[in-house]
Amino acid sequence: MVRKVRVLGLLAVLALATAAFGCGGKPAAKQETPAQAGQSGAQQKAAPAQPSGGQAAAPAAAGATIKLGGIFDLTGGTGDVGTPYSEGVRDYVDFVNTKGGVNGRKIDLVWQDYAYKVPQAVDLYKKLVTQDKVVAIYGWGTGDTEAMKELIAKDKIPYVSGSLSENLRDPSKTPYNFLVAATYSDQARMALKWIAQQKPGAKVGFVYNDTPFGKSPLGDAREYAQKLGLNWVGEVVVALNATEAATQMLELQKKGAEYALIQETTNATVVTLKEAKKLGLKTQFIGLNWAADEGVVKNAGEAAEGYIGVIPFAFPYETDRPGMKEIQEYLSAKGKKLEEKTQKYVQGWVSAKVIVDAIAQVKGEVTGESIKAALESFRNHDLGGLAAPVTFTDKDHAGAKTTRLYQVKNGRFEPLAEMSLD
Amino acid sequence: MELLLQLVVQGIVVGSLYALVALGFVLIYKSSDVINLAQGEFLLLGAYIGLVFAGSLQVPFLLAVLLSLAAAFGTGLLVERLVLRPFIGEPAISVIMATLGLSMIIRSLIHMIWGTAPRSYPPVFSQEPIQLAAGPYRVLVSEAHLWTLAAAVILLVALTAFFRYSITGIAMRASADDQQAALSMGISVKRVLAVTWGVAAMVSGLGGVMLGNMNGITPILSSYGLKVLPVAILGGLDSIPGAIAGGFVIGILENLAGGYLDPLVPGGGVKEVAPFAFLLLVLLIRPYGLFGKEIIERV
Repeated sequence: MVRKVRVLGLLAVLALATAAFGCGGKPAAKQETPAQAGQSGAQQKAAPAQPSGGQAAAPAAAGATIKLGGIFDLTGGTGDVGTPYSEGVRDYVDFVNTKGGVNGRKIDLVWQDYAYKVPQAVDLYKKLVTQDKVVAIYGWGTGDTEAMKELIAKDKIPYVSGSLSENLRDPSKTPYNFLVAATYSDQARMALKWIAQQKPGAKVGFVYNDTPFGKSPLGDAREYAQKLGLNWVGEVVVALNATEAATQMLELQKKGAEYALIQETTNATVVTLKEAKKLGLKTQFIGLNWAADEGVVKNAGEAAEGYIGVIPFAFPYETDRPGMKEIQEYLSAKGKKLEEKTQKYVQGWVSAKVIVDAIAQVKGEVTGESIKAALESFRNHDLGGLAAPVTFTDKDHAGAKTTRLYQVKNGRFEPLAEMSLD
Repeated sequence: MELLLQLVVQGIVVGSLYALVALGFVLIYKSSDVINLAQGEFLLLGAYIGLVFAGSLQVPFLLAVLLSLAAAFGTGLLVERLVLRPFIGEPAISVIMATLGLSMIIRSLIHMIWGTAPRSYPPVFSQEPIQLAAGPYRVLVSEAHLWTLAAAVILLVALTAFFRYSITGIAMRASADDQQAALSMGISVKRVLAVTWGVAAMVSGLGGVMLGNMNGITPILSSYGLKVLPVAILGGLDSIPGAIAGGFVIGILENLAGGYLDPLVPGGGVKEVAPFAFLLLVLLIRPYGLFGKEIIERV
């Protein structure tokens, strides 16, 4: 009997501990009871609509918070880059709040980790929209963002995610999705354009993972390579959680790939570069956005020397940018150091800034529709040098069509070329 | 020829790691009929503990490996005492579920302590490839891979000797064969189980340290545990030589499939599927695995 009780007690402890830590997640930043959520929702509705052309913030609206949502990956397959990205978003929102909010209203960011699982993202999205009544959402993955694109359009929730998938740029199909930098496909096109400039007719391969994110630019890249007269030798799959990739690298070697694009996150990129180095590959690797950051350089060591990255966002060591000074100011006020942050943190910061800048321009009631209208008025909107200026129109939601290539020299990404599409 | 040799050598290196982790599964299954679903987390924990010694505390690498093996052994003992012991005599499925809970707790603790950013060991091995032979037999391996293979082989030999010649090892084999008979011979099954968990954590821990050295660590490395489960089943869940042979078989098979079949299939991925297809085939012919004990029950 006593033992039964002990066993039951142990099971209860296990269950509690699993509930607390498990699901690979940290608890939501803001846990609210439905009653509270309803109340704040009512508060928001109670805020009177501002007549257009009137004052930016009326006293009645000043007190009410603006609710935004966050769906982040801290512990899943892309947690390596998802964690610094989410920190960037959260810190920017905190920064705005410490400066008094936007038009006098504080931002309330309700966020949660979804461990890169699409069904969890959908559940979380529904909670954010129906229960928390957020007006815009910072999302994350390509798989989940694409899975929810119809819901997002129906609910009229401006959605800026970590995904830069080409499938999200056309407002006639995805009117509420916005991309703050060049799409993966455009990044691949610009990298291929650079390759064609270096060596016309070069043999090009592609390294990706079998997820919507990994596959996103594949078809476009293959097509564009052929258009440029490059010799597309094929693609190899390296899983996001790969621990080795020897056969894949041998295949690239066998095909004589002189250049290979990488569409991965840090972990698989490190594995790819290290395996290639081990097998003596002469291939020049070029990683798209998520495959290129300080984590790759630090963890791949010598294997990262000479590696090229498509870098749409600034590195924290580029302190001459006005936007970086803002980040530095915020971090030092919090007792943190800029040097500890990565380029993915900057990407999160920029993504957060784009939505907040749009909210600041809204005259009248802050709703999904009014934020969308403000975003679509952006023409070369300055981001303080942290990323290329963004332009959104009602025809195209890909914010930028330029990017930079950087190359690792002596353990650090250094500028190599500025690229744009005609 | 060059490709074939390269693939086989790579398969042997990867296989030695599979063998280590599969051995962890087998040891626990043999002694308690339980499949430990936290095996991958033991691997992860071993990798991070190794990182603390080799990275933060800057202990010389070899010593760091030994210290992390000791720490992993201790963790195994602790886990057995705190989580598993109350389950002695309970149905196996309850214990398996407890190991699932354990896996989540360990993973969450690791997230809390070390975060999710990729980390790597201070460079110990040279990254320049080593050429094993020339001409058509040219094979390139990294120093880290060679050492991984050496460490795995040393540990596998040491464990085989331990089971064959040491009193504890013999007691462990006796309890695995028949718990009741072992108990009646005065063997402390509790003690045997504790040592088993310690050794299982230790072998996975070594796998973690070596994997971490090869390509760095992120928490998603814990998925390695489930990847290796078919290896243990293939060899026969209750066979130590089976785990070792299964590891090498799957390692080589996976690489050959990747090297020769992936290019033929659009999008590739045969490398991931081949071990499972092979497992299915083997189990159809030998349901108890390659080396597993055939249990005949007459009714």
